[in-house]
Amino acid sequence: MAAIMRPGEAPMQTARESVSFWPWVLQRISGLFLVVLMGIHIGINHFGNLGKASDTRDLIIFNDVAFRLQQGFWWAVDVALLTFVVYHGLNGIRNIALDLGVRGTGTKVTTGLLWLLGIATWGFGIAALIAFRKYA
Amino acid sequence: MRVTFRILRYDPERDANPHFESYPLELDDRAVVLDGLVQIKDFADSALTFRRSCRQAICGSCAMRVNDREHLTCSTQLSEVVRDGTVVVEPLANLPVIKDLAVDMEQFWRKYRAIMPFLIPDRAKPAPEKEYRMANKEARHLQQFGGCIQCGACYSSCPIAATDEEYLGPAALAKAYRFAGDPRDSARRERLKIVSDERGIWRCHTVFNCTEVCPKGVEPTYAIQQLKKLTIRRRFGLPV
Amino acid sequence: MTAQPQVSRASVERTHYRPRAIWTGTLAYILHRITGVFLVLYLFMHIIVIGQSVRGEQAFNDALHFVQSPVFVLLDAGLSGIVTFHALNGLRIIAFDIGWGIRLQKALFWASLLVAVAVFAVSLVVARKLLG
Repeated sequence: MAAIMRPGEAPMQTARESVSFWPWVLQRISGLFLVVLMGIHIGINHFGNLGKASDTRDLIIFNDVAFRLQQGFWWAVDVALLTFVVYHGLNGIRNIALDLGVRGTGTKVTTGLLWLLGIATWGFGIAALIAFRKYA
Repeated sequence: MRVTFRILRYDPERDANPHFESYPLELDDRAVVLDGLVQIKDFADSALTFRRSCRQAICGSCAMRVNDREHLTCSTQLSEVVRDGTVVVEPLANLPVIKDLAVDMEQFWRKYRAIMPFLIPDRAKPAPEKEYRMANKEARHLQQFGGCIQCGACYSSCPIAATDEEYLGPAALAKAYRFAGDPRDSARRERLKIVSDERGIWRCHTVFNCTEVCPKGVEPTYAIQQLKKLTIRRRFGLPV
Repeated sequence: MTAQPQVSRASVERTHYRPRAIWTGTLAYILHRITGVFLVLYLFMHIIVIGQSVRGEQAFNDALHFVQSPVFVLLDAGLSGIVTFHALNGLRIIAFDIGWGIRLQKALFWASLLVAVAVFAVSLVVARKLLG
């Protein structure tokens, strides 16, 4: 049993199921993680010193960040945050590209470019985090 | 009631582009939008083209965009939609215009056919003597999805269908759930496979326009979400 | 058969974004996308600024002080509103996927927006306090 088709009618174009299923699932999972991780990140990194800050420059101190990143937990939080945020953001851009009418080869090119951009961004982010550990 | 109909006219043999034309009318206060169209066709321009048939919201022929919202013109009173004495009538969006207010529904039907819009009973079991029975609760759950009259209002309202001709669209997906959710159907897994695609359920961004405009109270968004849930269960090896 | 239709969707593509065609769900969709794109752009800026750590503490502090000027701090208040909206509306979407609140979609959207606006307002007060 299959779709009813008229003589000479082309079948509906479909992609491999995993190509559409996993990005959708990962977008949700990364989104959920982001809500939690972003809450921690903003709360600690950006507002952690709010109570004793008299100037905006007191909010983020290099050594505080560096000290936190020595600890496995905070390292894991920041690496996870970086990974999820880059995936979530760039997959979101891919979704928008599809809805703007990117098709076929264009989809593959878009996906490929976004992966490159994502890996580069992730690599740079990790390098930045490592730098904190090194200079501390 | 005095009301001006602004109608998007398009004759492929004469016009390069669609254009609006205005028709001032005098209609009964209780008149529906379709009454106005019929009056124009009878007295102003017999070339005006539109579909209509039953005039009682069951044939699904006369869905159009009235003041930027999809309506069955036969069951939409002018008083509901008229603004500043004007009613703007356009053909359904997301479908090619054949002439004036009549659109080519072929892609709509093609997607409808793609989701196997018929019950597939389990052939291995003996057919019941009288009928395939289902529980009252299950029947009521599915009832609204069986109430679709295939007018295309939801399809026209969907911003995803607007940019992807291959997107299955709310009507076909709601119908897919009408059968995939039916306990008497034996092809649930196959149905879920058909809709589990970038051009199927995963493309729905829950904009809810379809649910908003459906003249028969069908909630395609709700159906699509159920299909997503079932598909997730299937993909993760849970019973569906 | 009738003549092959010559006008496809050219005349109708914009119809979904006319003011009268934007319902609550459409608005949620549009805002989620706009805030999403904004946040991606912000993300890159953020990573570039924080990434100055690769050039040492001094470079990091210089970059940081640049984005801690009053203009940026006030923009940050807007940012927290945007983040809040995107997060809450994202939870709204995930709730639909689990099967919760599909029929409460409008209320859930307005609640998300309301909280986001409140967060924006509070952030603005805090930012002004910090700036003196």
